[in-house]
Amino acid sequence: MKVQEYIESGILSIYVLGVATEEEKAEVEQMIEKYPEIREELHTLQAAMNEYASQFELQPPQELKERIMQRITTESTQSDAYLGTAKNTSTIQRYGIAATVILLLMSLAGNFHFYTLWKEAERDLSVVKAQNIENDKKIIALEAKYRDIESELAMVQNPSFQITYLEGMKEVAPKSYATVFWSDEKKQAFIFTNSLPPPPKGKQYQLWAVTKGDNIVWDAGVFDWGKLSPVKCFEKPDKFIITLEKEGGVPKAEGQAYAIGAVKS
Amino acid sequence: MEKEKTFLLESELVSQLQRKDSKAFGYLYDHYAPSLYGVICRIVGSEEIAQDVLQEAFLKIWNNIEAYEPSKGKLFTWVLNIARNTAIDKLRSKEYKNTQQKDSLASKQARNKSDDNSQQIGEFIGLNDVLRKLRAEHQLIIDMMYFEGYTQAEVAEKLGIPLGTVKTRARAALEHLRTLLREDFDF
Repeated sequence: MKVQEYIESGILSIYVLGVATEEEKAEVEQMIEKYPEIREELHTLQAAMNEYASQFELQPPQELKERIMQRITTESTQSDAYLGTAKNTSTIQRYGIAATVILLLMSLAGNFHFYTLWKEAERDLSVVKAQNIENDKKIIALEAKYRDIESELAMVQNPSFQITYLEGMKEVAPKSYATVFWSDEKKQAFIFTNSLPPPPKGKQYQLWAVTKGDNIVWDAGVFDWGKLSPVKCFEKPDKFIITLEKEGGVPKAEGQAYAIGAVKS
Repeated sequence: MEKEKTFLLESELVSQLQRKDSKAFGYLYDHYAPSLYGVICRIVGSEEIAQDVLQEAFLKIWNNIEAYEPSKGKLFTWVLNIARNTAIDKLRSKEYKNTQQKDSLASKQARNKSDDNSQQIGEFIGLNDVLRKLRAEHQLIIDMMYFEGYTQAEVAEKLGIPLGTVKTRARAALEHLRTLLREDFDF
């Protein structure tokens, strides 16, 4: 039999609707083993039926869960006697009243239990929300850092930028360095200093451009430590020097020199 | 208090259930009980009986979980079938027939809907657009089979159609339902 013909016969719908005869059921189960297309068709019909059935969703009474949970934990030993038809009505009624009271108590206990769970869930949610805000902040910081690294990379690759490495002074910043990118073409300069020690509070590094045999010293400005920062440099100098100055910078270098580097001619 | 996991993969859930983990069963109950209870209520037409049936269905699920084969379909499909079949069995039982009037809630509603498609829609409280768009004749055949458990022959007789066309009618109805649902979900 052709697959399409089988699908169109409607037998799968009958199966999904739970009214297939025993022979039809066996046949469908055989066919889905053999033909993946038939299985796929059956599964989408089942999904549709599941969705349809879920439309009628109704909350069962709360105490029913407790009752069922209790049943399954004692199930292994007990028979299905509970489901048997009631014979003695008056006894049943008496049991009924007792059961109602017990159920009411259980329901109250259940309410408290669910209330506690709810409160706990609410707490968890606020923790998660706070974590999300924290993560967002981290992402923003990382993005900024990434952009810096990208522009630094772009500069390193840009042939119009000349790179000067400044070496840390042995006494204050051994093994440290700073990098100045300078473009004569663009009259732009940038500095990157993350390997110098972070400046103490109230202090800032300042860059100086020295030309013509140390006679003229230009103030290239203060800059932020730890990220790529623009500095002022309009002419090609012979040397760059970094000093540590009070915040905002000084017109003439006063503080300790931290790094120095000669510009290649 | 120990934290409860609020999300489980179906495969995890099944293996925990098959190990008879009662916590996993509680999870299953929390997720599926409202759907099952809704279907059972619709079939038996009384919440009181539905509660017994729901309990019976969950016990069957617990005791027969080893028989569930993931390759044959979703866990929900399997669980729902157990609930539906238990309810239909109840519907056919002597005990039920003695105490209940013949028409179940479902048949009354479906019949009302087919009699007067616009007036009775208000009775379908809380049901979404999918149900409102489902044509009355399609809902009637789905409900007769699924919620009332009429055999194919009974459906043919009630609707006055040849037995041979019951399957194709059922297919048209499910096809329509699937199309309506596909507008909302992709499965």
